[in-house]
Amino acid sequence: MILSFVIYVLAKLYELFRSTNQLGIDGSLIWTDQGKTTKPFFNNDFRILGKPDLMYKIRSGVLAVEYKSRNGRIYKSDIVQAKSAALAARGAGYHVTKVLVCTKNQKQYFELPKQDLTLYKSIEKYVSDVREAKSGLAMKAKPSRYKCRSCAYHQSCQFAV
Amino acid sequence: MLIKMSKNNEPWVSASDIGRAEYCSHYLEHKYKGSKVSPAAQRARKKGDSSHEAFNQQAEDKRCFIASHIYGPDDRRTILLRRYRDQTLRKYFAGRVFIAVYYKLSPTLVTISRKLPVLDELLMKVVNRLLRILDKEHHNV
Repeated sequence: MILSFVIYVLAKLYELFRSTNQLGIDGSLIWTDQGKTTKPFFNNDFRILGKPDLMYKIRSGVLAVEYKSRNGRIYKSDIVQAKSAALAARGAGYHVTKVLVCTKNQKQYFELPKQDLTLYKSIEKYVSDVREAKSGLAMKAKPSRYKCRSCAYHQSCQFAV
Repeated sequence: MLIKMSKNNEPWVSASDIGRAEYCSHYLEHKYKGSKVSPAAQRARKKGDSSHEAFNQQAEDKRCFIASHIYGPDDRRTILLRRYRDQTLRKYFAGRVFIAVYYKLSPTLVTISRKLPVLDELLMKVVNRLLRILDKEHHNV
């Protein structure tokens, strides 16, 4: 029992120590989001703005990193956000060729298309949705237990489960 | 020649909103209508911001959370503490464990100290004491 406890503590310490290592990216850090003081990037061609969390200079160009502070898996919405931020950064002249989406315990790389238009096409539907929402149109709900539970508007939403 | 995809009168959209549209576009309807954000969500946002700050600082390895909070990230005293971390603490296993624990706890401590001036004062006393010791050692070398 004591041995199990010791092993457990050592495992936790190891995890703690390991998790503070850097991302293991083979590249040099070229840009960091400093929070509210950092202005977003603007892509004038597609009217998209955003900022990744980090950007690294890698062999093939620039890697943009999108970090989610949750434990658990990466969702499609995280990937869409990362691609959108990468497109915004391209508008500022960063040749973003890859994105890394990571949570506290998972990470996934995605290669980006060379052409900005092709990248935009992959998120175009969602961009249209945002513009429709901004114009005041009613938007379709996608209720589900795990989504509604963590939604900021859970209490105000008639569709929340 | 680049084909202009968007007309000049189309509104700008943010990357985070585009991600949200995939998650649930009804969320955006609430956002733009000005629906009230739940207190739990507000707390989660603050926690998320703190976590992001820690993550980004980790990448820069400019982490010295508490000292940055007290003196500023580029203050001479913060730089001295950073040097102590890199040149002394990192050499030893116990030092590296201490650094790992510090990085885990310090974002939370800073968040709390922003609301509790008492904790702020206590942290300042502890850090100032450490700085006096380091300054002394630095001059004795």
